[in-house]
Amino acid sequence: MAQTRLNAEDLAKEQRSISISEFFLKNKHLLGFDNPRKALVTTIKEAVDNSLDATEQIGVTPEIKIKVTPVSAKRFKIVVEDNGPGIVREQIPKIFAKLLYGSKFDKLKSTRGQQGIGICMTPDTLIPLGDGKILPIKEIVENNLDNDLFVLAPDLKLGLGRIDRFWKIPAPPEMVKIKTLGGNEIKLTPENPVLVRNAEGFSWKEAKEITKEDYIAISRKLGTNIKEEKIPLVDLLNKDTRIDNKPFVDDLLLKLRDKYGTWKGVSERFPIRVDQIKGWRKNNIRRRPKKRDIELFTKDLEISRKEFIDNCTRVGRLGNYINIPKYVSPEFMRFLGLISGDGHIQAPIKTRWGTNISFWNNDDKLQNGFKNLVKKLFNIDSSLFYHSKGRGKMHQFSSSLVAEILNNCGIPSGKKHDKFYLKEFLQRKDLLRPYLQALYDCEGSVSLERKTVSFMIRNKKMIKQIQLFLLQFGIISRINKASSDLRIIISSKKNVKKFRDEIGFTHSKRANELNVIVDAMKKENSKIEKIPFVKKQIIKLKQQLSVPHKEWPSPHLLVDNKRHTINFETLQSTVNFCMGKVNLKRPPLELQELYCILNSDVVWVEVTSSEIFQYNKKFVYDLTMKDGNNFLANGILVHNSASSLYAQLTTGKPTKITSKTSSRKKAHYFELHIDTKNNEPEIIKDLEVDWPDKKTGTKIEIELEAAYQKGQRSIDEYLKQTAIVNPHLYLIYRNPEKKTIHYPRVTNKLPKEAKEIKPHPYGIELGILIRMLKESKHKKLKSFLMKEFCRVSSRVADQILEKANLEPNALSSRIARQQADNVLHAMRETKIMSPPSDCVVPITQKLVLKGLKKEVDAEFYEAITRPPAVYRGYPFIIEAGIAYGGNLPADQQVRVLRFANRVPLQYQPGACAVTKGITSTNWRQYGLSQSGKNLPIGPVVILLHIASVWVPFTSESKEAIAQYPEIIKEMRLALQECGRKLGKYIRKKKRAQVEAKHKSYIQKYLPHIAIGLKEILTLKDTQEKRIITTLKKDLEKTRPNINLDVKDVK
Amino acid sequence: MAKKVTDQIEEQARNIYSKILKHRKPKLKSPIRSLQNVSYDEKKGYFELQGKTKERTLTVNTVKTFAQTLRMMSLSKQVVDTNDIATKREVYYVSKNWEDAKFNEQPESDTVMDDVEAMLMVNREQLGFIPEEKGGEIAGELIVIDKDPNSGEDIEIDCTKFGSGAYSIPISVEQLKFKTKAKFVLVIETAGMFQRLVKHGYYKTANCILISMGGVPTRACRRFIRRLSESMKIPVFAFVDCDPYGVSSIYRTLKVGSGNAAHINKYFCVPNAKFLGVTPEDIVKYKLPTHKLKDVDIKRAKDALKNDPFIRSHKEWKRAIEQLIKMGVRAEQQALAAWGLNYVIDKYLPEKLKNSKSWLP
Repeated sequence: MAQTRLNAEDLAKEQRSISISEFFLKNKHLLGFDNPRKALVTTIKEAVDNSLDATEQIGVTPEIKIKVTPVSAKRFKIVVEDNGPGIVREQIPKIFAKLLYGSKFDKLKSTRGQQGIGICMTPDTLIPLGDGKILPIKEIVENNLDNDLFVLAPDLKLGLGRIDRFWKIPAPPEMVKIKTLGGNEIKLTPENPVLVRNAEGFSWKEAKEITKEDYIAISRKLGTNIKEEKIPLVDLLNKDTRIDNKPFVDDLLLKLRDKYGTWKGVSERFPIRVDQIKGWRKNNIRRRPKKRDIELFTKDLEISRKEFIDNCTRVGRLGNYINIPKYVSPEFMRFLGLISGDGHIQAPIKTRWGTNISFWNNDDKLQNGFKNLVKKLFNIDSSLFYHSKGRGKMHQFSSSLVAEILNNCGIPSGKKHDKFYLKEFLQRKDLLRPYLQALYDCEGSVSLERKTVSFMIRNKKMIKQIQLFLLQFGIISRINKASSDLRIIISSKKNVKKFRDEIGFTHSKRANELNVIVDAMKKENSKIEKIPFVKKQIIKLKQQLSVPHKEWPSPHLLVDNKRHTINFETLQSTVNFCMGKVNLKRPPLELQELYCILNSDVVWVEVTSSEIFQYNKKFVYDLTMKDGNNFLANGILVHNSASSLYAQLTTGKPTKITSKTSSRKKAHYFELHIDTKNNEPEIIKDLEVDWPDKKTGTKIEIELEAAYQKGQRSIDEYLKQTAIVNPHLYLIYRNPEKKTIHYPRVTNKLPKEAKEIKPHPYGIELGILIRMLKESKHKKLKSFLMKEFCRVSSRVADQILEKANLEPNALSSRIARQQADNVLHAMRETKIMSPPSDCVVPITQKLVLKGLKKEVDAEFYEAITRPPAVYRGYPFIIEAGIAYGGNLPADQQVRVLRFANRVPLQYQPGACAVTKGITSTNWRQYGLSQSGKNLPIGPVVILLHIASVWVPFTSESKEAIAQYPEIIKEMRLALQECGRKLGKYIRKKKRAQVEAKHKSYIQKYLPHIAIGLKEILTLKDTQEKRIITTLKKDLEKTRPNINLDVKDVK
Repeated sequence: MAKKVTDQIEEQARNIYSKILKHRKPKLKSPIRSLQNVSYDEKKGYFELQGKTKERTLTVNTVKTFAQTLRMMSLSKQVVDTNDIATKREVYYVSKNWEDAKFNEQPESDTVMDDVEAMLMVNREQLGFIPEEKGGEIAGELIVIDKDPNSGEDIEIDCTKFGSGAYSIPISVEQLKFKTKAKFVLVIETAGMFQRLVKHGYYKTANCILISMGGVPTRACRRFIRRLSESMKIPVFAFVDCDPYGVSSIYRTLKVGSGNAAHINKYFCVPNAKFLGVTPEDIVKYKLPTHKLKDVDIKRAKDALKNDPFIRSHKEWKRAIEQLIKMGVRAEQQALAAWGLNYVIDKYLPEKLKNSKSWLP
């Protein structure tokens, strides 16, 4: 085989750049479950896989040394050394990624590793913070906002937890949108678990599995820890706003001159001209210093911030000044609310001075209130206008400064309704009260008929925010969508009453109506405050307490009908009743559960829809919590991203890498660590060192928190299995117990290099197709199809395009989603040749056999390599091996070794196609015992290997192979082929055993026949002996000689 | 007779020996002992062997039993030659000295003994082997003439002189002689019923001989009744529970012998016995309290209808058993006590004895 020799530089050029977030993405799934044992396996696994790939790429038979040394009880030092091409400096920062990211998945080629999808959500998901603010997750992540979030404790109480880390990850093509009866909505990656309650009780369920039978948890209220700090209004001004306070400015300037000697000194200290200072000292209303200048001066003079604020209450530009309050006050918030509701800020027009701010409402009380507010806050008189065409009346005033302030609070000028959004520093319970009240005064309404309070708005973003604001007051609401309008509805006595007491209306008519409906309402709870799936517990409780049916507080509940929800009061009375009946020191588990549910901080709302949708934004986001494993997002409790190798790696110790890229050059020694602020790796040391006796190679030293254990899922087992399927590998492993294990090489032949192929049309998914269309070099659709896919000839391309109803010359970058979908369907319907299979590299039957013989001590071995087959357009090859007998335990289930692209799989055997393939094979016919569809029992090791350009794993953690019928069928065929040979051997062996027993019978009993005859016939000893010898000869003649020697495959 | 058995044994052994020397496979031949290989002729009155035989050729698979059979034959010859006897249990213990060929459990040695017995068409007493089991008990108007084991003089045993006890039938009954004026023999299944009849002197009032079988009658018991009834020419009535076991196992074995001992049934059965009760008809007539038939009972009854040549050749029995299955119940002898403890003496037995139509063959 002609191997082109590559060197490290070549490889570096080829290496796809791997973002650090991708690295995290991968890690957290591999290690994300707080399993230190897994961490050890994963790290070594990725290092070994990577070394194997690297050595194979340059055509060297791999030799890998691994040393695991315990540093302390929970900490290990791992050293992995290979004879690969080494790593060049530019590649070093990517070592973490490379460590866990060996493959190039954009080209279809069977190498080790595969991409995955994270546990994440869309960027606009709103996260309530502990201090009452509500922010989109994108802002939290991108600004690394170190904040507290709401976390649900096991007792169903909300508490606060710290964020541990932030995730920004390339988005998967598909996401899941979940909607609830309460109008809550969240978009998540399909794997992101959400807290649900269903017939089985509580559980974390992956978004893609959530159905209408589930109820999800939304928070009942948001406790806030308000920082009592006041917000200075001056902070809301732009920096170039001028401050009109001559005495204060004079005082400042004089103090500065004292400090720096002369005006010139002052001028040099700050970049201001002397004539500017002089201008400020004159009594010219147009010459006033800017806010920025005053800030600098006060800071320099160490004048308190309070004094600064106190003196900046008259502000403006170009000689026009208005008064402003010192701090954001309830009145200011009400003003903000009124403008948010019925106000309008004129879009800035350069040719005009000033900006008109108007308030449109037909209620006189509100109009007067607005007028008074403006006067009180800014000392501006506004004037009343009537719309020329009788569309109502308004108060209007003009101030660009106020407009600026409003803009900085989140209310934009011009068409504001689909944009306004309250800035987070204003999202405090004390400030929200007047704001919401004003908002409701403007846009709210009371329905006497339905007994609800509703609020209509077209702003989708804002309505979710308002829903969360209301939650801070413990008011649970739901969102209703009616055509383009969104309506947030508060129903049930409890919530409406809370609304009246906490917020209410100043609008006199509505305030009255509110009182009327509160008095008229009997039911305390809204339909979203039902408690689902507790009947079972209640029925159990009743049985335990053996209370007569009549005495039970709500006997109608116990009827097992289809309704699985009960309302809050009923549960309350039931729980209270039970509390009186039981020993409170040891209450029954069911009662504890019900009590928790009753007093919890979450309500359970029905899922109304859960659907997968195509997602085309670039990134998704997530958080990892330091305390707890969940947080509130859009009011819904979702699982966080678990901690990762990142955390493991931050044991504080840098990662050490020694690399030698050429026998002529010196080796390099690097130390690397991750800058936790930027999530970026950093080289902190780079030295030239000697590495004698080494041509090329890489040595990596990592210290991490892990656990060492032996057994089925251990690192020992992983390495052993790796040695089986990589017969060309020489592996030396020194385990933490200081035992060195050698896995010798059994062949010098490197596995055949896989050929790269383009994706096959049958295996493509919509999201990927759209991305390919956008990024392709081939502009015309037909050439795109022919060049970007395998097995698409001109004729096939024409057929596809005809079916999709598209022109061959259509621009591929202009293909719309719907058209892309048509192309996808057309491809599936067109008959296309199977992909070439030379892109799949089997281990080969011979080497599977050798590997098995080397590592499994048995008496019979068999292996088989199936011809290539195809699933969903991906070619794959199944190989099976069986070892039988010897020292293998006979009374246990068979041991199964699973491999995908020569990587051992150690977890989730139950979900794996391999297990399915084995259990669906009838092993009884091959002489093993097997009960039902279980793994057979016997002294057997079964090896199954799938080689494919794309191994379909069930989840991103790459632990189980998805159960495609084509794959299972191939596995079964391979197993049957091995099984037949095994059966033959076992039968032969059994026959031999029976024969041996029979032969011993002859030895045992023949003398007694002779004795019997001798006694009866009084024979002589010689005659007796003759009987024995004759009989023995005659009997043994009749027996077959069974030769158990198995043909040795070399 | 004794001479003949040892001759037979020697003949068999010589046969085997010569075959071995000629390099031919030695064989042991014996009749198949099961209900499938017996026929019933009402005139003869007992189960008779049909021709089916089994051959045991010496192969690797049969070498163990072959050796054991030969050693058993050798033992029998020794015992007969020395005019000794050995119980079945003793034989089992003797085999413990045979090293590899020893028996692990007594049933194994019993089976081999039965094989030898059938092979030579003799009964085991002729082989010098005797059972442990007791033969049955007798009370009533009978004088048994036996010989004193020491002096060899005749002694007369009066079976009315045992008070509330009874005379035990010895293991070997061939040498016994009888004197009696009794009108019939009543053979009873359970010791309990026997006790009641003895206690109330029923044999005196009815002038009969009472025999308790205690379940399935032993060979000695059967032989005793046969000799008694034939030499004294008196009828025999069986009084057993009304259930498939009582009919197909106890009564049938008494009357015509068993499949297992088919080669010797000729001597060990009582062809002129009659089934007095309790018949299925009696259950109806006397309104007896009943128990439900168990599954095993039903299986046994159906099996008897299908496979038992005796039942099959008697319409009356077929009808009776079919009736029993249909009623789905069984009744014990003691069920008569439901009408008073002595109802059986005062009413049932006299009525039944008078009415010969109520008997079954």
